[in-house]
Amino acid sequence: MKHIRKTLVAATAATAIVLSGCSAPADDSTPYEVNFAYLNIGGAPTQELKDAVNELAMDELGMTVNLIPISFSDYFTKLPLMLASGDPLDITFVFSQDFPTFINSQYIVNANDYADQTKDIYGLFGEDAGVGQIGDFLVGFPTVKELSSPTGLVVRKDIFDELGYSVDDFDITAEDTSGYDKITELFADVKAAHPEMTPYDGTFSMGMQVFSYIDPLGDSGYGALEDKGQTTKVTNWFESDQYREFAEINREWFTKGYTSQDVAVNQDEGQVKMKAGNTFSFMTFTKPDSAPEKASQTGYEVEIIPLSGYGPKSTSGSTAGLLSVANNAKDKDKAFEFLNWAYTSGEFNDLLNWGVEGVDWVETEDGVAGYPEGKDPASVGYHNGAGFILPNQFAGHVWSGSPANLGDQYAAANEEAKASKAYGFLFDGTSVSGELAQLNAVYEQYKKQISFGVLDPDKGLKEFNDAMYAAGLQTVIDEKQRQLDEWLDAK
Amino acid sequence: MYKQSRTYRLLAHTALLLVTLSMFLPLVLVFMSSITDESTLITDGYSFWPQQFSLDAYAYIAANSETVFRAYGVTVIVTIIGTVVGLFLTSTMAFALSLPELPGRRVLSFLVFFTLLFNGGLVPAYIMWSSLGVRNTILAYILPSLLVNAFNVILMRTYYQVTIPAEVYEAAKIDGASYFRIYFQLVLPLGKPILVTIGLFIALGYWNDWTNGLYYVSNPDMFSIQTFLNRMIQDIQAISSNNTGTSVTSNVPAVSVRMAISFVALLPLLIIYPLLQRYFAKGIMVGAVKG
Amino acid sequence: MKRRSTTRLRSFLPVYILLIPGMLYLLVNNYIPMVGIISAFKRINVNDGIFFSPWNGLENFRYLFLSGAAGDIFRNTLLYNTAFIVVTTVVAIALAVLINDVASTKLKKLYQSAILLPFTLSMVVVSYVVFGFLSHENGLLNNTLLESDPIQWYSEGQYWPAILIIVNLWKTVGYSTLLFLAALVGVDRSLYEASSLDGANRWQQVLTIDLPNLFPTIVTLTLLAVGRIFYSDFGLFYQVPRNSGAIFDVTTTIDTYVYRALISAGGIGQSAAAGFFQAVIGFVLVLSVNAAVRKYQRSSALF
Repeated sequence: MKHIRKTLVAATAATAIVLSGCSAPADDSTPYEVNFAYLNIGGAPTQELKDAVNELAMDELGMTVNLIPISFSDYFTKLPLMLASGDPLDITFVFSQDFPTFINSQYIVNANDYADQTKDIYGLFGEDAGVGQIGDFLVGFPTVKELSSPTGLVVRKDIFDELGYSVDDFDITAEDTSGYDKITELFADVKAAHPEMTPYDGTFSMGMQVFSYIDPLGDSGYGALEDKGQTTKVTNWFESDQYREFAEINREWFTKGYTSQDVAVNQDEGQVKMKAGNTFSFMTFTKPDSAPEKASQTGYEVEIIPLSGYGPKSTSGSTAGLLSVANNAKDKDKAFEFLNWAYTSGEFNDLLNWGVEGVDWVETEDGVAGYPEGKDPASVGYHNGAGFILPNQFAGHVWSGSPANLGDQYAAANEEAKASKAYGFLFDGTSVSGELAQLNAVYEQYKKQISFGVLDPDKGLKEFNDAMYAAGLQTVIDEKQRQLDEWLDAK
Repeated sequence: MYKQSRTYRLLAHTALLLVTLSMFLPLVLVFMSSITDESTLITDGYSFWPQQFSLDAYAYIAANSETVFRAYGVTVIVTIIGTVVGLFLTSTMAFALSLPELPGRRVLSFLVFFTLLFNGGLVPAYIMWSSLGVRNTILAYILPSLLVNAFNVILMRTYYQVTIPAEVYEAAKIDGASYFRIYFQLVLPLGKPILVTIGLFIALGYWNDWTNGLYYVSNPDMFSIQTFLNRMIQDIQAISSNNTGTSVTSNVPAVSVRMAISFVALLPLLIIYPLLQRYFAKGIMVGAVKG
Repeated sequence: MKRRSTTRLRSFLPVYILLIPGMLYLLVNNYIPMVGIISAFKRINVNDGIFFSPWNGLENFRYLFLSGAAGDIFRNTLLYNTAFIVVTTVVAIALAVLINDVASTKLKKLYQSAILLPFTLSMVVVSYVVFGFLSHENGLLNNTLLESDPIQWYSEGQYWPAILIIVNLWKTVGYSTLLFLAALVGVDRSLYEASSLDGANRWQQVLTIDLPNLFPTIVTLTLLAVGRIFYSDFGLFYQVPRNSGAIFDVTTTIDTYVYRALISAGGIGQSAAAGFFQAVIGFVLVLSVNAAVRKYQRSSALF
């Protein structure tokens, strides 16, 4: 009897000791691993890269990093899966159309609660750090990139010069579309001189460049603030004179054969078409380093004709992609700490952007980054180049071809952009999610046809807008106006 | 062979040849596109005899040959294991359900069929398989959704019901054979044609599947051929339809490379498939003898 | 009496044992995740998970029915699938009969291999091939047969029902043909000899010998297709028309509609709702058709 009791006591004591040992907080010898999902459009991270990142993070933070490359298509398929199933994930990027869903599904953490851990970020952005605020939920933090998205026409320099044009010949702004006549003239000349070429092609035209002309208030413009957001009345931009003019101009180009006849089903971007050699021009959002960027993408030197003037600083533009901490993060304090550090570490941004220094890139004498001796895009181990979704691409190096002070140029451009009156306002579409879903479907159906002039604007615009209203456009407009007014009053 | 009228034979062969041509033609197009110069492809579109040839696409693949070969290896292993195991599981169920006097047959058949219609969706399946630890293993390709499929079970069951006469079972039972013996020694051999056919479908299912790889495999060393190819294509589509207000440097592989990889993914099938036809022929012999 | 039934059960024991592995797989792969169906009626959030998230009734189904497109998507899905079933079955039977009659084994192998070839191509590649034919600027059709009067294929809705039926036929007929072939191969050759001695021609033989033997397989395939009548092949309806807005009203189906509407991530409840709706309709239809088949030929019924 005694014997048994002694054994029991001893066993209980032993168990207690073991259990207490088990439940002790994670001892400091196991560093916290941050699961960092980032946009990956280049190749997968090499082992050297992973090692380099781990070394850096250990040195400066005492944490290790598990890099999770997410391609564009992964973002729509794999990422929601990871978030919904509780996979290990600390930090991810979120595109603006998903904010309401991610918040409602509780995929991400409210960054407002972690202001202490993110002081450097606030230091970097000032007020703008809080631009991702919906109600009292801060979705995450913006990245350092161009905040306004003007539109420009990218043209091939060789033919442009050959025909005797110069960029100064063109004077087009968002308000005055008469300048487009000159472009029509240009296309006609191109067609005459080079009948085998397509003057205008690609996947974007003016009507689709919503970030340049309006504040789309969170989606493709189902109810927007026209005039670059300098109004507080929410209207249907697709019924506006400006949109109609864009459609008519494109209609002329299409019927005269300046635009590719397959443009409505074309899935190749303008730069791909130009690279193939038979396209003269395409439209795109421009930034200070667009010319060298397009040149390297197409292999041709280009000129850029500005079409819209600056784009407004809109919430949609700034919050196009935010960096958030996922609910799956085991230690949210540490996750935010890491995020904070990521904004300040030039080395980290360089690693993710260009790879390992000395192996994938070297610093040239201009102070920018370039390929090492003997390496090129095909043979280098890692090269991502998705700087716009990195925390702070300009903390690191700029790629060669762009000036070393590109970050300053971006800052200057951002200064120039005028903020939309709704800057800081994020629309919560959950109550109209059904309508938004249908509007998406209608928009998909008509966007290219109208913007590229495939459909006759007289008939097409009416059809398009009728379909939009049938899908519940007015409900969405009213809801947007209501929320906007509320937000404006609260300011 | 009994005598068939000559007109019939002529018509039949003409029809079949036309059909065969129409099946092969697009494949030829794919191959031709893969050896067409990239700019010509974009300018002139796809054609059966391109203006300019180029082996660049295959050079690109050869440069990545390590990845491609490894992807092949993965796909082959997965297909073989998956088909053998899947075929076994499918045929046992089909056999069981084909026996008219099996108690509970109607309920069991319904339970099998029900799975074809109602589906819990990707997320629960993903959570479950992940928690079973299949991620980044070969099982990730084999287990989720492809191994046994009520469609195949029901098709096979119909075949067994129609082709295996009751007398065969009775004779076997009189001999004192258990259902095990009946299955292995009678049903399987008699049902060779359906085994080959369904086996082919299962194998194709595995060979062409790209979703399991997408969801459960993140280690590039473990990519299958289809995962690899489809990632590329999906990225391209996502980039061009996504308007985030910035222009992205798209590292887009050439159209011809896409075609080349499609062709490369097909090649083993084109080679193996005729070889399999031998088993089909054998089945014919068995069926003929049966009479 | 009791002893007889236990002996019966015991003699079937090997059968049940054979049944177990497959059933186990279906349990794990299909039935366990099936709880996900309730997401269709809930507003899912990750913290509460599937089980504890709040219910929201039929809210998730709204987007399917609200727009004017609802009529189009239901009509298209239903009509296309019906056309597919009928056309593919008829052509597959014809091909199976023809191939079965081919004397040369070599040619037989060729035909059998050829018909399954398109099945092995992914829809993305098929869409490129179709584009190769129908592209306005460079397409084969416009540049050869119709050089004088080219057609903007991707803008004209009238052609697309035919185009999609043909493409679907081309891609999937091999599947049914092989199944029918497998069934025909088991038919006793002497039956044909006997009937031709009686003076029957090939067509009569088809009606009296081939078709009856194919009947169970035809019924099975059709029933299975009916169950999936509200599901469409996403690749066929999205990739092949290249997402061209001009022909949406004839090419949009439930699945493409759901995809386009939910192009943003998340919204598990809404996509689950669509799936549930498709399943229920198919289920009801199959139950009815199956009951009808049971009356006619019990053994051919699905269950």
